Amino acid sequence: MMDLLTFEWRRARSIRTTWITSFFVIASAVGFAYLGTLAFTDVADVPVAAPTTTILSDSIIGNPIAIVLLASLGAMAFGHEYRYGTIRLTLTAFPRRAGVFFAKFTMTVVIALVVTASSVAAGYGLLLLTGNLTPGGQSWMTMAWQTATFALTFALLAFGITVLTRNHPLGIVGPLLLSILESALIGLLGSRFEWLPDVLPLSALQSWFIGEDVARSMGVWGAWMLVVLASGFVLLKRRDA
Amino acid sequence: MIVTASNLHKTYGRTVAVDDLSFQVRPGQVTGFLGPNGSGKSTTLRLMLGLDKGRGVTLWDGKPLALHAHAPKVVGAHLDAKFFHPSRTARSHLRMLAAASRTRKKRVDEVIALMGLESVANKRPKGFSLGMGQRLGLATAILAEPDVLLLDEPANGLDPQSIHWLRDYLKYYASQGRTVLVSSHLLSEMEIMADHVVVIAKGRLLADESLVDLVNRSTTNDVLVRSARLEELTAAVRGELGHDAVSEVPPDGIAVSGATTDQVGDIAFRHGLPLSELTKRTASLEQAFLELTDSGQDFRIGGTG
Repeated sequence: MMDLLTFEWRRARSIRTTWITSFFVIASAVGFAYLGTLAFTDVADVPVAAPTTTILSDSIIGNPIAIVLLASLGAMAFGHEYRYGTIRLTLTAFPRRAGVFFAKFTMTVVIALVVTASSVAAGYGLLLLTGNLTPGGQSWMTMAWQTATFALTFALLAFGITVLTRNHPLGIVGPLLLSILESALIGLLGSRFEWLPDVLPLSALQSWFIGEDVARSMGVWGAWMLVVLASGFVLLKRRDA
Repeated sequence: MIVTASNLHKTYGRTVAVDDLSFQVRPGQVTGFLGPNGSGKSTTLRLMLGLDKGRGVTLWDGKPLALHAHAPKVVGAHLDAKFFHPSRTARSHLRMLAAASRTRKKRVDEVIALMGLESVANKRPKGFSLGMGQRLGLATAILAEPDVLLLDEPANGLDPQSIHWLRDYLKYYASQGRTVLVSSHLLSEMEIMADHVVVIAKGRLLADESLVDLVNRSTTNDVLVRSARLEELTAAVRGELGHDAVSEVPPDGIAVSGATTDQVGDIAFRHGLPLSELTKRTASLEQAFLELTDSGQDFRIGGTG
């Protein structure tokens, strides 16, 4: 397994796209953190200082650029391999496909977490330098696990969609399309089918974050993630490379 | 290492691409893998490597590839000249694969030099020519110095000097006791390079024998005879060897199949017939291949309609 992980690390770091995408996740998070220092006002529309953890959390969770770029990082694991045919080199060197899947999964998780942590750290640095650190809001621990879970959700959805479809661009935009589709469905049908938000993955994630029926929300989110990843795994095992 | 492919079978919808194909590739020799376009050669190679899913099994020294601890040390494959990321440099591409096989960094530089890729090693391969892509693919295959090389049309796009080098290299590689399986359309190259041939058509095995045996059993092995008294010579040979043994070679010759030059010369001598030419004609691999695959090809061109 160490050979596979080493190989995956070399594969990921040897293309510029990985570094460029990671840089732009961090840059966009810093930009959104800066915007966060300007955006909060009180009821009288007077600017107020928002809590640091809220700004940092929003710099990832409320940042559509980061969503697409994190999805892009997730889609790269298999997307580039299928797009350029190198999957055949990989599967010749490592004929056990389950190992290849788990190595790519692990590397995607690690990269998404490192990039997210770096983004939050960079955002914190900006707030520190500009004198905008403000106590209050959610705890640091809550902010950390929520941004991490959010980043992993989009990176792994993209990872799963790419294995399923072997389509790199679809892997990148798939999670964003899913979030738009969910909003549209809830907007159109939510009043008629009140249970709808309860069974959709990103709504469930949102409910989980705000502490609404945590066990059910976690279960729904987890089940969707499992279905996407398990389907991808099965297809990788069964299909021609 | 002996590679044994047993009952390989693959269908695409209703089309049978590989039909219950079994053969063995032995070490110490270059085995040519021949067949017309669409005969299933590439699919067979992918089935052997486990890249395509189908029936049958390929054993590498008695074990499936997935059960070997380090597959890159077992087999190096080159299936396509474009299997690389366009923005990963040639050197990075090889270093990445070296990590898969625990190959030392120095070896990467060795294969870069061996393949004549020094000048482009740090360039991105998106602008590589077909020939340059083939060299990078070959470098990938030999990187871990595997026991078996599996190459699909490796000479496509190579210049004559590179083809000559490839031929010598593969023969040298096989002479080290390693196993080499090469598919190719370049029959003249195969004739020089291969010791053994596996011929398929429509996914079925047509021949699995030494190149010499394949060529020797071709019906185009015959004896060419020319004489000023051709009619008498034809009658004499037909009288002794049978009517079907003789075919006309205008303007003044006949071809005698199933006989040696000694036999034909002896017949002419006994009948007092002067000869102006007596030549043994040996079939080429191309002739033997065309004879063998004549009935098995779906996509023949140049037909009379």
